[in-house]
Amino acid sequence: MRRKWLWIAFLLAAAVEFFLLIWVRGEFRTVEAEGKEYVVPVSVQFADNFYEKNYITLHVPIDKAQWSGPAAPVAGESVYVSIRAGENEAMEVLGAQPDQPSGEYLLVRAKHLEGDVLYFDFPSDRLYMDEADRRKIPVTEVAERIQVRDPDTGRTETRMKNTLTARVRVKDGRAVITALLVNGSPVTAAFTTVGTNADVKYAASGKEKDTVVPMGDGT
Amino acid sequence: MDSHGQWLRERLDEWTAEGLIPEETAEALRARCPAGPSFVWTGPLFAAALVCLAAGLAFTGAGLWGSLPQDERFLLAAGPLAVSVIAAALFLLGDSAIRPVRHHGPEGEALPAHRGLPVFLREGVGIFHGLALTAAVWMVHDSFLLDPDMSGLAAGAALCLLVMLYLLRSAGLGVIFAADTAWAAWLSAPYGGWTGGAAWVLLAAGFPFFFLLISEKRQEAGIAYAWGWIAAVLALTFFTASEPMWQVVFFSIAASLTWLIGSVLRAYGWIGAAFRFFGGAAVFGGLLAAAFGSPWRGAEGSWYLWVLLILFLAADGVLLLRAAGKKEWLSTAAGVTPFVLAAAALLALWDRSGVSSAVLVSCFIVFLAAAVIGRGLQKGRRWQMASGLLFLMADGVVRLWDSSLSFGQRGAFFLVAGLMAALLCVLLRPAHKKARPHRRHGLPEETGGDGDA
Repeated sequence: MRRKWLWIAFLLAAAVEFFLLIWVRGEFRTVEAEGKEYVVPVSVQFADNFYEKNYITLHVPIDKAQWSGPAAPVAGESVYVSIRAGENEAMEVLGAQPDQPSGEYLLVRAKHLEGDVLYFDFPSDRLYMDEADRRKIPVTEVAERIQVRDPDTGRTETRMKNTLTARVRVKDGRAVITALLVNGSPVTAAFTTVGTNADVKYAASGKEKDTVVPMGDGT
Repeated sequence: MDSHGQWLRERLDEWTAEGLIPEETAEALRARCPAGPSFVWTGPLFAAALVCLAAGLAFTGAGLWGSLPQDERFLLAAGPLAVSVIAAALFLLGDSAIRPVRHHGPEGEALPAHRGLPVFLREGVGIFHGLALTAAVWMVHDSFLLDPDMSGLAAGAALCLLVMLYLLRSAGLGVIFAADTAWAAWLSAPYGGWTGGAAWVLLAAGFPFFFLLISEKRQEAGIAYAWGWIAAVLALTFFTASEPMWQVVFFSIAASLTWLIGSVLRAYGWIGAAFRFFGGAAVFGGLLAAAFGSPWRGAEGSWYLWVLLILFLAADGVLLLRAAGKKEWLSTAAGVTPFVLAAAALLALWDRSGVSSAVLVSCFIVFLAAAVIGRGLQKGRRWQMASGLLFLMADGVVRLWDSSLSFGQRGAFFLVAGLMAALLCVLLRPAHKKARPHRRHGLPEETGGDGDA
C-alpha cells in the first residue's frame, strides 16, 4: 500500500515537472499563433552580441500610460494597459488601470507613477530568430543614425536612417514579437531583395547636413 | 612524488653505499616506497582535470545553445530531465525491490534491515534529477520568454523537488531544493507577490528531511543538507527583509543558531566543530555589522518580520536551554545574541538615530569577547584568547569609525569599556595563574561537557 502511494507521488511529481515545461512553451506558441497583431516602433539593443544568442533584443518605446486607478501601484505590481489598433495596425495606448479592461490589453509590471502617468517596461523585448536569419540582419541598416534638417522648422535632428517597427502578437495580456521590419519590410530582406531603403544624401563637409527622403515621400 | 619517500630513497642509496644495510633490504624498502607521483599530487590534478572538463563542456554547451532554434532548445532541456526521471524510477524500483522495511526470523525475531542501493547511486540520481529540472526550467523560460518574472516557475520546480526529495532521500537533491527555493524568492524580489511567502513554506516543509537523514544514520549527509538549508534560510531572510536592520538581525540569529547546533552536535566530532567554527565566525561578523548605527537608523518592519523574529527566538530559546543543560557556557552566551538583537530592534523603534541599538550591541560584543578570552585563559588556548582580543579590537575600531555616535558618546563608551576591561583583568587573574601550570605539565585538557571550542 505504502509502495503504491510512493509511485503515485513520484508519477504526479514527474508529470507536473513536464507539464511546467510544456505549459511555458504552449503559452508562448499560443500567443504567437492566435494573438491579435499590432505594429510598434522599436530600436535594436546592441549591448548584447546577438550573434551568440538565438534572439535579438529590441526596445519598444511604449512605456507610459495615463493611470486611472484609485491608488498608486507598487513597483513590480501587475497592472493592465488598455490598447487598440490604430492606422496600419499601429498600437495605441489608451490608459493603465489595476483591473482587467473589457477590450484588448497588455499585462505589464508597474515601475513608478509620476503625477498620473504610469511608467512601465513593454512586456516583450525579444525576437527569436534562427541562426541563418540572424546572419542576414544588415547591421548598418538597423543601426545607422543620420542628422537631417527638418524642412518645416529648419532645425537639425538626429534620426534613424531607416524606420524600424516590429510586429507584435497580443493575447490575454501577453505579447510576443514576431517580426522586425525595416521600412515596412522584413529585416532579413531589407537590404537585398525586398523593399526600398531610405534615400540618403550624406554630408560632404561639416557645413553640410545629411538629407534623407523617407519612405513614401520621394519614391 | 612525496617528500618522505624521496628522502628515504636518497638515504637508501647512501646507506647501501656505506654498507650500513644490505642491498636486499634496500630493494625491499624501495619496493614499498616506489618512485612516481603520489596521491598528494594526483588528487589535485584529478580535481583540476574534472574542473577543466566541466568548464569545457559548459562552454561548448553554451556555444551550441546559442545557435539552436527554440524547439531544439526545448528538446535539449527536456531530454536530460526525461533521462533523470527514468533513472529515478529505475532507482526507486531497485531500491523498493531489495529494501523491505524489516525482516523477521523464523522465531519472529527482528533481523537487520537491508540498507538498500548504495548511497552514491542515491545521491547521483537525486543530484542529476535536481540539476536537470532546475536547468530545464531556466532553459525553457529563456527560450520562450513571455514574462520576465519566472519566480512562479522556480517555485513550482521547488515543489516538485520537495516531493522527489522525500521519495529519493538524497541530501544532494535536498541542497538543490533549498537553493531553488532561495532562487524563487530572489526572482520574486523585484515583483513581490506570493512566491516569497511560498518559498518559506517550501523550506519549512523540507526541514523534517534533516531528521529523516539523521534517523537513517547518515550524519554527514544530514549536516550537508542542514548547511544548504541554513544558507537558503539566510538568503530568504535577505530577500524577504529588504531593510538592513532586518538583514543584520536575521543573519546574526541564523549564525547564532548554527553555533548552538554545533554545540548540540558536539558528540559528532568534526561535524559539530565545523558548525561551531562557521557559526562563531558568522556571529562575530554579524555582531560587528550590527554594531554600526546605520542599520538601525530609521528602521521599520512589517508585522510578519516581527512574527518571524519571535519564531526564531523560540527556536533559539530551546537550543539555548539545551546548551546550558550541557554546561556549554560559551555557546549559551552566543545563544543570547538573538535576544540582544531583538532588544536592539525594539530600541531602534524608540531611538530613531540608531545610537542606543549600536551601543547595546557593542556592549554585548565586549561581553562575548570577554567570555571568549576567559574561556581561552581557562583552557590555556592561545588562539581562543587571540580571537577574543581581535573581536574586542574590531569592536573598538567600529566605535572609532562609526560616526553615528558623537565624540562625547564615543568617549563615554571607551571609558566604560576600559573600566570593564580593568575589572575583568582583576577578576581573571587567579584563573590565569591556575591555568598556567596546567599547560606546563602537559596534562590533558578537560573533556567534560563544558568544552566550548
